[in-house]
Amino acid sequence: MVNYEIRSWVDVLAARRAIRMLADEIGFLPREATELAIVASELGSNILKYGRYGSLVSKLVERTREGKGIALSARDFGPQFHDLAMALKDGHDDRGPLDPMQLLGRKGIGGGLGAVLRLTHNFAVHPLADGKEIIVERYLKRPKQL
Amino acid sequence: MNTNESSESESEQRILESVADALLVLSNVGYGDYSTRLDLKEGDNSPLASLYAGINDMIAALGAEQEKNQQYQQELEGKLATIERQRIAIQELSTPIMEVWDGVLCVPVVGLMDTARSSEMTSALLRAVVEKSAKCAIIDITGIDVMDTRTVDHFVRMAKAVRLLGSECVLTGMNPHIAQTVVHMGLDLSNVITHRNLRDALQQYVDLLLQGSS
Repeated sequence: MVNYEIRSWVDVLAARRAIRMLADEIGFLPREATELAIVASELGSNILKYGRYGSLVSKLVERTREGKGIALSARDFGPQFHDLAMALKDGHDDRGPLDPMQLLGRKGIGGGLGAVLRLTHNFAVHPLADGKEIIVERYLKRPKQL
Repeated sequence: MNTNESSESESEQRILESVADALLVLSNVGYGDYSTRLDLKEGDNSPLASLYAGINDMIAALGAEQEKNQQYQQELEGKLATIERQRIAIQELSTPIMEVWDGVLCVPVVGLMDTARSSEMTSALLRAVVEKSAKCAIIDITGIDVMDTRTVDHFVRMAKAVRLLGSECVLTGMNPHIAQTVVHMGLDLSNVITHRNLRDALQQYVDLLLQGSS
């Protein structure tokens, strides 16, 4: 099981490597395992960018229809989403569209959460007293959008 | 006479016992146990007592040194582990931009491509194109099997930006899955030159540059 404190980039890398290995073990195709690693990477770098610090934890899940899968919880101790629907849009953060002029200087392109949404089956955000938790699930069956 | 002899043999016995005690403690030290000490009787000013005190001091000093040593060892191991993690991180995050020929930049991309990395790569590549006044930038993505649609989109934008700077941007080694993503998204690839592999692209541009210079 993957359980990593996220405090630096090195932690994100370690976590996403572990998630990838876990996905391999469960029976995801190599490409799908990479997709899960991308999901872990985006969630992890968001923790560092917006949530200061937190953790990435994985859990095995199983459903009758979708079969086996991996649930990934990204917990951070940062502020809540100002506007979740906005944050999920590509080229946006949680307050609106990103200025293209500033995109180069930033460590991202405003597409991280969108990628997470596209590459997973279930996506949920739980506000907590001292932060928030994003829980995503990815099952062996592929998401419809792909 | 008799009492004298008996007291002499008694004191000899005591000395022998004391020496045995000392040897026992020293052998403990030899095995790495620095906690045992020799018993000192208060007010005892015999040479044996001062020897005991000396041995005790030595054991204490040895123990302290040993502890420090262990601490250093632990710190060193911790640092080595950090270096190893950072080495892997550098390997996974860095995208080397090489000038393989005069004015030809080559960017081999391997590993995981997420949004953060693609944005870092863009700024690094655009800088390099200007700095080296490159005529052509070849981005080889043979090592990438998956990109999110948004990242693919960003790649195409990067190629267009390179074009705006007056140099050609060539994508090589695109795998079928990513090609499908590009088509599904309806991305305009008219400004982007693609080649099947790095070798083809290199050959073409180096030939072109050689012709131009001769």
